[in-house]
Amino acid sequence: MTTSDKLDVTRYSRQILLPQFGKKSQQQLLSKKILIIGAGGLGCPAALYLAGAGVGSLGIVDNDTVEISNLHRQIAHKESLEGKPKAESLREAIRSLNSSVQVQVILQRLTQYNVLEVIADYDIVLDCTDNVLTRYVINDACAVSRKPLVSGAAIGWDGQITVYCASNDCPCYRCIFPEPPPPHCVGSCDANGVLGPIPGIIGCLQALESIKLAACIEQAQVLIGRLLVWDGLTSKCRVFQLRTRNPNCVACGVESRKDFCDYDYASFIGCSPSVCVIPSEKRLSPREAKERIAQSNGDSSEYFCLDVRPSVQYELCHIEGFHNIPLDQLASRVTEIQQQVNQGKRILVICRRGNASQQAVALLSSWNIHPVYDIFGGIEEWRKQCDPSLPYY
Amino acid sequence: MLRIELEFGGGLESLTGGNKVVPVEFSEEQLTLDRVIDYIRTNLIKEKHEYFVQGEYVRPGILVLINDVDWELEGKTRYVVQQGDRITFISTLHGG
Repeated sequence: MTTSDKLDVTRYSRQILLPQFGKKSQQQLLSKKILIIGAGGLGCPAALYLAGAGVGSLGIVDNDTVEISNLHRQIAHKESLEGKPKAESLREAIRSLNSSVQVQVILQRLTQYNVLEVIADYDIVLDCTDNVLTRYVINDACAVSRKPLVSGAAIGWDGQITVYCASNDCPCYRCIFPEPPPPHCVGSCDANGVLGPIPGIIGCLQALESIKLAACIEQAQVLIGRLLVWDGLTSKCRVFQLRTRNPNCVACGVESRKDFCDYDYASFIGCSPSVCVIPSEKRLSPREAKERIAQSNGDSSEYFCLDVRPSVQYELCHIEGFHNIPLDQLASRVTEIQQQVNQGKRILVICRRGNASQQAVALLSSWNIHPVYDIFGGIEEWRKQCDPSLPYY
Repeated sequence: MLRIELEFGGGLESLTGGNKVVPVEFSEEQLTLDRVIDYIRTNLIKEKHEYFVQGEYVRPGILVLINDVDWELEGKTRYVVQQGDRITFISTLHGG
């Protein structure tokens, strides 16, 4: 036995001791390549546990950079690496945990054009991403390549995990969700909040299912055709039985596509990345808006300033003089705004990033409330142009 | 009297005032799942119906489960509801 063999046995002894695992499974793990897409709340714990377990090679895909507001859940990153690429930060964390693991860093955003090439080298893919479009892109590529996809998701207090495309009967994401949710029904951790341990739990479960698959553990039952749902608020865990693979599925069915390069994902998802729905004469930059408010000064202000973010965000921070009416309450509280207009005021609308405020302006205009202006770029842009003391969240 | 339990998760509980489990009773001897969905839409949910339905149908992105089994395997809206059934509606999550 060589020295390195001895070292490996020592390092992995506690899992090799398991009768279902043993040295055979350890050797299987060492020979496997696993791709982790997303180095965030799910990707951090998943990558660390897979590295600790001794998977031969890990790929990390992420084009984002470390932010302080990520660190409560993305615990592989460090304060000192703020602004650095997350994929590189995660590689450092993996190296300091287990330097024998090979790590490939892919700093690109995953698209329908590069996804097949990116996943080609790997045995198993982990979806640790945070948006609907990328989830379909990854699923379609795994379905076409018949590669097991360990899919996790978390938001608020809730987490979900299942494994797609892992056997002949196993459904893919499109078999379960042939149509995407309407854009207004899609939440995100950035907008809705999330408690750190929730993606932590789901990311750990993604590592566990991946180990069971990669190590070819005979007695193991993988979450194939089953969806595990974790409710962190009530600490209840449920496992649901899912439908089987749909033979007519466009991604994994009998006559499925060979690739999705020419597929129109933007229309399928029903959104474009930067929404612009109202004419430019109804839009002001934060600087212009601030000047106009200052010129009309104080109580006799010509403007009624409206902040349409959810109340939780308004409480987190807001600009002095702005009144909070969340977008989803606009219809029920429109008389409050109408009263301001009757008193001769102009309406200024702001939100977090400039999308919801445009919807609000479009709605108010459709109800014949004039004049009304959108402050483009939202609180985020206001912070950059007018008030750096506003927190970034 | 048909007594069943409705369950909402993945954020859908916000439509029922934060209640994740809602017991309901129907006077009908026999009814199908589409009637239950209609009941939720018209009686249980007070606002933001578009988060639950698209027209008459459960909106895309919601998984419906009958006693923990995907409704696709149980006949979907034509499923005949049984005494004590637990019908679960879960919104799929995308965050990470």
